[in-house]
Amino acid sequence: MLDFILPSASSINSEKTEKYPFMFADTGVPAFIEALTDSGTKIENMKVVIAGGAQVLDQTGVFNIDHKNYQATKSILSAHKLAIHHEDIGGIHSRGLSLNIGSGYSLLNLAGQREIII
Amino acid sequence: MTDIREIVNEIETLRPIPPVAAKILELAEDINSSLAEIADLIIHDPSLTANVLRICNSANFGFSRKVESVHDATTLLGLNRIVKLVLLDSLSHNLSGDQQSYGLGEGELWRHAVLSAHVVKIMGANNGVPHNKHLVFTAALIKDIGKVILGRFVAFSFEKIHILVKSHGYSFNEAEKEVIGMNHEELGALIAERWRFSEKLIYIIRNHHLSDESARDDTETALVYLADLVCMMMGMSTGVDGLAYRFYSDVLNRMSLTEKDLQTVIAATGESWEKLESLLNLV
Ligand SMILES: [Fe+2]
Repeated sequence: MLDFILPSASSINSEKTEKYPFMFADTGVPAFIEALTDSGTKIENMKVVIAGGAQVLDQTGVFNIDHKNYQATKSILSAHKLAIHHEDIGGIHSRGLSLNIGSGYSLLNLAGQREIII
Repeated sequence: MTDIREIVNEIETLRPIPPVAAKILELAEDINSSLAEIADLIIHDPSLTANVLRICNSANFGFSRKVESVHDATTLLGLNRIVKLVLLDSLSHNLSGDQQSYGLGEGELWRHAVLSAHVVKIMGANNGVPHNKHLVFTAALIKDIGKVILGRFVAFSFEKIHILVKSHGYSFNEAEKEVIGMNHEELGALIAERWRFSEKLIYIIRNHHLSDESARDDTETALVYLADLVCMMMGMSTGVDGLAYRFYSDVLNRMSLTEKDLQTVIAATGESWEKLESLLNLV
């Protein structure tokens, strides 16, 4: 499971980004996929579930970092020929995602609302 | 609409912030006050003294010798951290309960408060504009205190609020105001008045979502506002209100901040996550 907060390591004023590759979509997602394939997982057996991308009420789009996170993730996944099995994106509520190792099911928790099993 | 007097009466049910904490905050806001004056206030409060010593002696600070007096503690920690400890100690009771009605579990309001205060510190350090550090830290920590009481009324009117937010373009606090007659900022300011906080602190609490345009020019209020938004974006506001608050992009221009600066603050917050977790566990 990967939990990142920003679209790109190049979009912040810091040289320390190499220390935290998993904080960014553009470095974290490829590193995550690589770690999985290194451990023997085949791309065709992977099932991608993505959740998040909630946004504040913003007409100007300056603060829609979460939307940029989503766009970045989508393009990296498609570059790796990975389809998204399930996505729950946008809106005004943050989400929690957990993975049941035994069954392989994901549990999606929509803040203050409902839970979905995927 | 709910009778506002009924809401205001509920303020009495909060555990008031101890007068000594309010005094310490006042001293900390005053640049002419000294560390010795603050230490003097702490030693007259046994439970605060005990907590300051306990926290100083915890492994997190890693001092090589035992800290045995408040005087030592204040010299070792410095004004900044002492103010922080006092605040965390005296406010955690009110914020750490279960705010079911905002959909917040045990301690979540408290976690959000501590994270906001932490972010406002990072943001202040990244931003050249001069501001009062203690003031913004305190303000970030208590800005949502109104939710502790308003939560019960929000739960009662939740359907109406939800429809306004979902289908009529209201922000959550605009919907609170429309349906209940008061929003959590206004109620928070009333609580702060009752607790005799400084004028400026009351002002920041009342305006922390910048609904009143004139507040956008106030550096301290704008910092607290932006730090709150950063926390929301990082998924730290998991209540029913979620991220349903307005972003005013002109605030960034007024503070000469860019989107890149904001993302830098988010990254710095992510980096210090572990440190923050241990801070949360201390209190
Ligand atoms: Fe608020």
